[in-house]
Amino acid sequence: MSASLSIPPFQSARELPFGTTPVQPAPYAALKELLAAKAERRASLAPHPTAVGPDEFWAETLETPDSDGAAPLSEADLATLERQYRKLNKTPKPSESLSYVPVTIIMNVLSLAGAKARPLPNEQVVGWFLNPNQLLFGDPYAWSLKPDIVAYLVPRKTAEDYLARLQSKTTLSNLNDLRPAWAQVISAAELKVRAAGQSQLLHYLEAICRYRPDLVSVVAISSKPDGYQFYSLNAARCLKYPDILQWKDENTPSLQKFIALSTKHKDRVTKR
Amino acid sequence: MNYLQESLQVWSLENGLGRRWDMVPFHAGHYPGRGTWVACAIEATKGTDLSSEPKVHIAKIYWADAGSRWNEGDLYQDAHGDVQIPGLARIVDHWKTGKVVSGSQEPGGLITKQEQVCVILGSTGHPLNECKDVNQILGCIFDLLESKSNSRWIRSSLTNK
Repeated sequence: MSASLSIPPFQSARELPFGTTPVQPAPYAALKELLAAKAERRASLAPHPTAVGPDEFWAETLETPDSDGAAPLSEADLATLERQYRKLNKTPKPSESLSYVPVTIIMNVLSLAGAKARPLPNEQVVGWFLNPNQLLFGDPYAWSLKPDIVAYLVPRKTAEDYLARLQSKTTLSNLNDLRPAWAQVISAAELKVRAAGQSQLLHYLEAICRYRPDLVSVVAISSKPDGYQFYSLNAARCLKYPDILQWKDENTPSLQKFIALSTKHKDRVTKR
Repeated sequence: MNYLQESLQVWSLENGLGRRWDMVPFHAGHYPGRGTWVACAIEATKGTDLSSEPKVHIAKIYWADAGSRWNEGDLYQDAHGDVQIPGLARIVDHWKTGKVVSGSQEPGGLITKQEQVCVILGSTGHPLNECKDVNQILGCIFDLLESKSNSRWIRSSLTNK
């Protein structure tokens, strides 16, 4: 096939008087648009979570946990979990405040079991503590946020004692006395019964990233009326788990993976 | 990087070569993004003379494109060369912390990576975009040329011409 190319006749550039510039304006509008789109993608002001498949979520988040390394649970642990799942699946659904204690018990049972299978340095475990109505300590950026449940490293004994208190006491004022500083928090949970808790949780995730420059990535959990969902945030991406998982025995392995992720960070919190 | 729990939020970070910096943050950027974390820093390396008032530096920790051709620390060092340019931030220490995250897959199949960088500045600079008129910009260029006029950099540039 032959193609005829029409070559425009050569035209010499118009001579401009010295000191003048061509009149055609530079494409500033297009340039601005391009830069804005790039900036928004790279550093959007509010995290917009992308739903990815389970494998991608676990692989992209922090470090890949051992897929077959779920910590074994004792009979007592399984019985406790079942009891709490039953409370959370009651019909009609319990109010937000009534779901605080069961969720915190579940997280602590799994975290203690995980730390038994894979001990952390200095006999520490990630404890999950209720704190729905108090501002956290050490908030120089004045975010004034109150995550319902916060997780941070504590001695094993502290987490065990707190779990015992959760199982015996039900008054919130007796259970929210272990408030950490923001720079200690490694994960958080937001519980909602009637509304979706995503936007609040994303604020908590971003606050943890900003207060913890030592962490590569941060994971958190949002509990909704129909179940719970995992979220993660790092400098490159904000991800959410594709499915909303119900508070049921069959989903315990996913919850254990999440616990393992929140535990897997390399740097230690030290007290001078 | 370790958090030292005190009345202030104090972080301690080693550069991998034994040099240690204690830092008190006062700003943190957004995520996802560079998440630029800015702090006042003093050197806390073992054996540092603490008898006199410690010099306060500015520490910046941020996430940058791992495939980037340039990094901030090298650019500052190259710009200053053997003679300090007045008004341009002075670099004291810079290193990569070793933390890397993978980004999303770009349309061309490329997966971007972000790595964490720490820069310790001995002085802050004055951004050129804060110049109020042409005279100030010309003043900056004059300062640059004056500081470099005796340096190897300008002499070699002129010789090559």
